Amino acid sequence: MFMFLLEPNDHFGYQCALKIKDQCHLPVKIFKTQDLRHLSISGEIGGSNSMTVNGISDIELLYMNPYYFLSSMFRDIESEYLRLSWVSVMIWFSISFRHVINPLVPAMLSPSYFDTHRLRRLAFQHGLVRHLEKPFRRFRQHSETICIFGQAYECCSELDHLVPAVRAFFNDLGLLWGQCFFDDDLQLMGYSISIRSPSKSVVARAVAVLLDLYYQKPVIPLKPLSHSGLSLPESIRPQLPNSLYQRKTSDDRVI
Amino acid sequence: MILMVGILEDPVICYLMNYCVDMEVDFAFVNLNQLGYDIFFDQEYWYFPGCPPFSHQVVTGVFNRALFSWEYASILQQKLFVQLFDWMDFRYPNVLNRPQDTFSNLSKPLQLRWASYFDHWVVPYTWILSQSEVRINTPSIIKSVSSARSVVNDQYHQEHVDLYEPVQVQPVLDGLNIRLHLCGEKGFATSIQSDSLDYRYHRDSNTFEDYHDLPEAFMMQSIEFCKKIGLLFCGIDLILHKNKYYFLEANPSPGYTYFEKNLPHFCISSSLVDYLKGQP
Repeated sequence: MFMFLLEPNDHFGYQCALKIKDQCHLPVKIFKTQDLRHLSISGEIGGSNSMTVNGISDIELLYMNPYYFLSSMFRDIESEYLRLSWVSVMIWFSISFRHVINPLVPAMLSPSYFDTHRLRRLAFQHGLVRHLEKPFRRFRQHSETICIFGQAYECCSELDHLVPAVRAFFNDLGLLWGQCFFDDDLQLMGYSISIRSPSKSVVARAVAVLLDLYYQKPVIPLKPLSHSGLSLPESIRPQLPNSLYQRKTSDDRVI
Repeated sequence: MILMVGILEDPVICYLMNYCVDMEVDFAFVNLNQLGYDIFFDQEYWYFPGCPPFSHQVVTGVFNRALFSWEYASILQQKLFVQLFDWMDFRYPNVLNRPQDTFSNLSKPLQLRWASYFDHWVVPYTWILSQSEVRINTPSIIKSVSSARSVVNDQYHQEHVDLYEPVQVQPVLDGLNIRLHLCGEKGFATSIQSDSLDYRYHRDSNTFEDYHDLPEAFMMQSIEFCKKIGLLFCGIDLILHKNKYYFLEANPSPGYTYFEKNLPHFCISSSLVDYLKGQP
């Protein structure tokens, strides 16, 4: 079973769900994200680790947008206690199904995680912008885009060489899927966790990846392209302006 | 220089600052209520009233107790908070704990799943339920699924319960309460004998025991667990029930002073300061 938790403006997710349901004739359940709190959930830890959502127990793949739970849209839930409870459940969901796109990772809750300063730094480190201070926005009018679907991607041939850097950028943000936007100068100008204005070929590529995951064709897990998670060789990596930008060292860790 | 980040109303940070004063350890207190009013920082320096600016480079460690909501802070303060979190998450060395690592505690089911990958303790059989009607047949407790604190006063047995918001249901475990504080590679276990379901809220009836002797292999595995979840300083709640240690939760911002005040030593404070000075 595929489960899609969709926001009203996620046309891409909706098209993927419909295609899998109507053209591939596979079981799909679509819920509005804001209706989540009305779903009946029953899960077990310490025994079989089983889970049912609204009576469905065979969910293989969950599609959702973690940013929803960090954004003002989620503020519709009036009580802070309830908000935290649902964030907790979605973090748990993110490790409970065989495939989750994109998972809600606990670190994402830190205010610095998606902060502009960090995004600029990562974009600069991965060679996606030439200047550290280049204005960075999540979504703006753009020239070209790269869509990343785990190991698969969709873009024009002109941007092919930037795919490893984009993948490393998303990897640092804990995102398996997403879209990056580039200006005429082929510099990164923004990104989005959900896919905006999808073409037919983008939806077809995404559905193919979803079906691969569903049928468990071998999937290479997404991982950093080099030990440090940077996409460029040390020798040509752009230097950060002062030593204060150096990554943490003494208690660096990898889970 | 150690940075202490928090508010004056937090007894834990005050306790550690007092300890630093006694031990003549240099520290600067970033009172978050004063950040953006009297206290500022930029990309190079910290500015405190009545003191010369000091560079970020001299900071050897940060004790992070930024635990409160800043929803009502001014725009300038909110910007500074985000930048301070950026420093603590990605730039300063020796942060106890980095903000992004503390959020694993927000999801108790996640913590329990992670803990279940370790076999030196037992993870209690737990149900996560929402919008459900259940019959509870064995004595059980119901508690929050998130980091929002829930006081466990009641137990449920042989009854129907309607559950609306997400909760955890766990069996009642009688036994000895143990708080294991871990700081880097060092660990200190304290036991608390209590007659109540939740010893934190019935402090008068609690009896403390210095140094609960946990097996060395157990300590090593617990340290490994904390490393895996990114918590260099944490307070793990355990219950010794029928000769087995049950894992309850790992707190990333433990109020360790409640325990240390009842003990004849300062081992936890001492390890914290060693770590923050860059001498783990």
